[in-house]
Amino acid sequence: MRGHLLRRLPSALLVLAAASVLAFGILRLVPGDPAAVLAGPDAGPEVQAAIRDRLGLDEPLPAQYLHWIGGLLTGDLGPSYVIGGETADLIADGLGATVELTLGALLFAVLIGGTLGVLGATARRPWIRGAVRSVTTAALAVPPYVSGVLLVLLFAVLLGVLPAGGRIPLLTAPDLGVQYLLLPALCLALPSAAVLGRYLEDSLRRALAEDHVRTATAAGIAPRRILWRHALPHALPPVVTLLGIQTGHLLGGAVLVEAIFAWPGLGQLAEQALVRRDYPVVQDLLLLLVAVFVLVQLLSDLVHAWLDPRIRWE
Amino acid sequence: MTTLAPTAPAAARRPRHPYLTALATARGRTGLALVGLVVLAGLLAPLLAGHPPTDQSGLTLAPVGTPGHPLGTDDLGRDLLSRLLHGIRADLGIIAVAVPLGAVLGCLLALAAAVHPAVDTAVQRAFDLILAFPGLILALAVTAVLGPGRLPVVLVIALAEIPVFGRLLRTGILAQRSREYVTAARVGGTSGRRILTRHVLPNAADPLVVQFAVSLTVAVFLEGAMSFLGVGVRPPEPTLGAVLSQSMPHLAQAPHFAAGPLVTVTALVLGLSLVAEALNREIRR
Amino acid sequence: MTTAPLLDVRDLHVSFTTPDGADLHAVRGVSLTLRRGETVAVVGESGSGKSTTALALLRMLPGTGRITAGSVLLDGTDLTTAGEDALRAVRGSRVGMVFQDPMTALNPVLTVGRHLDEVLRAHGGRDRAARRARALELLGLVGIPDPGRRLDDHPHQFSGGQRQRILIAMALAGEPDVLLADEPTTALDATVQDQILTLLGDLTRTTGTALVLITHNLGVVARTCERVLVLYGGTVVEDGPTAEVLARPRHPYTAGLLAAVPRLSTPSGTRLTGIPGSPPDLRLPLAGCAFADRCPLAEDRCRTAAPELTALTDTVRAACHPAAESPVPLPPPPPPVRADRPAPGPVVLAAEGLRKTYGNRRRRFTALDGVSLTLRTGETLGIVGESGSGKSTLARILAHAHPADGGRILLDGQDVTRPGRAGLRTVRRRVQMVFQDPYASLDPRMTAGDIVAEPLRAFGIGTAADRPARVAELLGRVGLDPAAADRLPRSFSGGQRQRIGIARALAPEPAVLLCDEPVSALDVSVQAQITGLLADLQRDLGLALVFIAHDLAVVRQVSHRIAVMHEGRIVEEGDADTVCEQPRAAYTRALLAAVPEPVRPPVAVPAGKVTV
Repeated sequence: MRGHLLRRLPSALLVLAAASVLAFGILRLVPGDPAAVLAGPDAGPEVQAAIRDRLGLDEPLPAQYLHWIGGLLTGDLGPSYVIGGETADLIADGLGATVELTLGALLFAVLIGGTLGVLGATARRPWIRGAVRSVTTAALAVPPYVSGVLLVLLFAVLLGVLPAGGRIPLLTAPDLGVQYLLLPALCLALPSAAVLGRYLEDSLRRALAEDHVRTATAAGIAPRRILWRHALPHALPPVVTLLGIQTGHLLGGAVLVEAIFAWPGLGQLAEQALVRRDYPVVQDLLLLLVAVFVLVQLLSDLVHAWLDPRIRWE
Repeated sequence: MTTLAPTAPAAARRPRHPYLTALATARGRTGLALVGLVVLAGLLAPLLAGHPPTDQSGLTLAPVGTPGHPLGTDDLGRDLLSRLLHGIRADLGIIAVAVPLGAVLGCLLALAAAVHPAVDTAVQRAFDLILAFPGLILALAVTAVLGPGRLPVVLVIALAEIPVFGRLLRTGILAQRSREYVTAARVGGTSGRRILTRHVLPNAADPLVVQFAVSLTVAVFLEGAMSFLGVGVRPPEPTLGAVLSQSMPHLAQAPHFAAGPLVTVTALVLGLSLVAEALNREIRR
Repeated sequence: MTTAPLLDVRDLHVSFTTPDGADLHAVRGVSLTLRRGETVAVVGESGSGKSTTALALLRMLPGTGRITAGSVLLDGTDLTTAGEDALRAVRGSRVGMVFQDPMTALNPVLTVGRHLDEVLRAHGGRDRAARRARALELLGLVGIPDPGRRLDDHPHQFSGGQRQRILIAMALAGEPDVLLADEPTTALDATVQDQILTLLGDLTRTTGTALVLITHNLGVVARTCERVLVLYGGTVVEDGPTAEVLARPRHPYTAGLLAAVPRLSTPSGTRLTGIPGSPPDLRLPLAGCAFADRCPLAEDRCRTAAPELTALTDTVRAACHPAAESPVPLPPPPPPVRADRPAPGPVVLAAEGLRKTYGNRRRRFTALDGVSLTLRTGETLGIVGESGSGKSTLARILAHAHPADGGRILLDGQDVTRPGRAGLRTVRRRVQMVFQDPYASLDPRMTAGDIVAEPLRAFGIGTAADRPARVAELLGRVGLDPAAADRLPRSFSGGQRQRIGIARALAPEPAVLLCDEPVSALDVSVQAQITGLLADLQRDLGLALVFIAHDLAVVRQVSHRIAVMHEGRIVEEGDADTVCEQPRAAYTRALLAAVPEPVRPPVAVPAGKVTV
């Protein structure tokens, strides 16, 4: 287990380092004087000078990079010049909202995908399998911005049972918060639920065709128990890896879903920072999102290894 | 010595190509029909539209069936049918460049990786790096540098597809290379290049064909999402995603505004998914 | 015995539906009775319906398989019409089952203890601690050392033989009356097979469990079972006491099968007679006897009327028109004759101190540890060893498919260990290889003709225009219809595919042919055809052959000399007959002792005399 972690860690750190260099490069790749870009057309030279000093833009590039990384590690992200306020506060506010949305969607994805996968692999009646297949095909064929629009049309405009957008934090008002969370989380979860469902169905079907299931059947073990105690544990490890990757897609998709449902998360912040050219915020955000994704993948790798003894003992 | 009974009927000698068999299934035909319809609409856009897509008339948010505007007009009085048709055209133009570009680059990298272990490691890490920016975050990063527009959209899609195709082909090459028939060909004197082109690649190509259809759908998704976020093709030029995103504020009073692109995107993606599924089923047999 | 049989299978029919909608009639009226404590073998080649029969008994047919007629009576209860719950009560507790491949038959994510616990739980074991105690006892019973410590280990931490023991423990956990073992030792090495068969014999004797052993190996039958059923084309062709059936077969198929099995006692250089033709197409309805097309005794009525299984003596029954009318058994097969082989010529290939290590820094595995050998023109060198002995690695290194880490390879006296580009081409023209798996070694997308033409093109032999003629000649040479050149590999049978592989290897007119387990994936009757073909090719072309196999009997029969490999070294080498009759190395003796022989050598049992 520890060996497995040690084997995976270097490449994860490498990716993280490379991603930080890329994120760092963005501000420097934008044409023009970064300080002038950041300060905006109306700012006077003293504002530009302050920015230049704060970001250390007069220093050589490696020093600037180290300066930035040092700030990140100590939690000092500096002020946001365009949006206003401390970058760290902006990110902390958005992070809570995005984590709430992503976790909600993850829950939906696992519940819906799990149900579809198990049904698709085990249902005896062909029409159930056909229905599962149609649902996953449809969920994959409808992009989130389309399903988002449809969900809003149906639940907010036509039925009027759920709000069309906005957020009330789940922790401050759970009952209201859930109402606001439901639609965006579902919208974000649908494609991942479909992917998970298909993969689980496939994996489970293969596990059920394994010789050891035949051994268990011949030993008189009940089919239900074989499904849950024999086939599923065998099918699950690769699904967990996929779940890690899908969590990354949920993070990415959150950017879009937040825009559709006016959800005040990191995606909204990123969009705002991008449109208003607040590059230091973009830079910090990019690295944060990549770091979270790399961490999630590392975690899912470890869970995979923990679930599969053949890897665990390596 | 034995005599051999003829085991296969003559028909089995030159079997129809499996892809054709796949596309001839009900699933494949439905998919092809849907995709064909959308592509045709895009190709014939200038003939069918009737209005230029950016011309504004006095009528804003005209309903479906308005004379001269069969699908109505948008909030700026532009003809929705024309915007839809030109939007399809713009989308097809983007994905027809971006996906093949990503696929070719990914495959070239995978081939380079097949040459030497050191190259392989470098290519693998590069793929890891691209994949560490999932989908839209990659889009944000690219547009942060290039600003919104058509080129960044193409670039984002291509970039996102590179590791997908690259990894798929690399896995395929590794799997085929370890097969005994490749060893047999090598011992039989076949050159390394010929083994790659004649034996390994044809047998590793099937998943790539399926992935190509899947990637086209991902490209439609990405274009739409980027337009939605305002980092896609610059207005007023229409794309499917742009029209859809413009319709959002007017959803309550003019739902038809969104109907055209909604139906089109769904039909296109559904069609491509059905084709991919049909191919996948046939190949797996 | 006069008691009612424990298991009574009557006229069982099983069908499958093929993907293109055709009906495949896999089992066509199999009847079988089993008394308490009896051991019965069901023997047959692939496609005979033996495994399907076993699965049908417990209604565990895969996919589209279904019982279309007949009954399976267990103590009078018909299992073909029993409900799911009743079946589950039978599976594991009345009939236990052991399968072929111990590597895949255990769930890799569950511990061995969990496996046993699940079975005990399914059969009413309520108390967890009691189940664990019983699991320990079972592991001990099947000979897993230190069961207390191993109970919480996962399957991949056990060897193949140990896994098969665990599976036997699972099958016995419910204390069944019948143990159904489907090819339980086929995936195992000879010495391990020997141990498992001993275990099965001991357990059935001590527990009184009846045993149905499904196998293709007549040696295993002779070693383990009192009675034998011979299956062909989904029907029982012969049924009787093992000693009687194997010594005096009544059915021509049984006789043919026995004649095709290489015996350890068969001297080097002899020729076995395979059964000509190939098994019947199970998609077609059966008009007469399934074996009629391949039978030397076939008469007109054999093709129109299916023979019934009729009693020929008190104990032996056979389904054969001519045999039913003949009072005496079939004449014994002619004693093996030594084929005339030209004397080996000069040394063509030699290896000195070859070494090969696989793996990385963490784990290293020495596949070859200083192997030296010589091979003469027109000579066959047999290389025998168990899995992991390094014999396949040796073939691959001699064929320059992998580089050697150390040592030298000499071809015609020249050092070709690390040849340059041009040198490698010369080596490849002279040294060719035939592979083990006739399914994996042919590119599924190329036609047979293209596959055989590939080396011709690679070495620039002939012009593009005369290649088709050369391909046709090569296909004819290996006994294939040249018109088959434009068919894809999947439309050929295993034996035919192996012929394509041999034709490909012959294309560049090599001097040396390395055959890596060329017959181990093939049925016995086909195996004899292929070894015969190789012997013919050697005689006609003066080929030097390296023949690698795990089956000592085959190796002795085809080889001039034998090298025995163990853990990457050659532990004994010498004249084929000498190695088999007066082995020097302890390992060779163990290997020889583990080979199950179908019957005692023909000389030991004079024809006409009955020994009981």
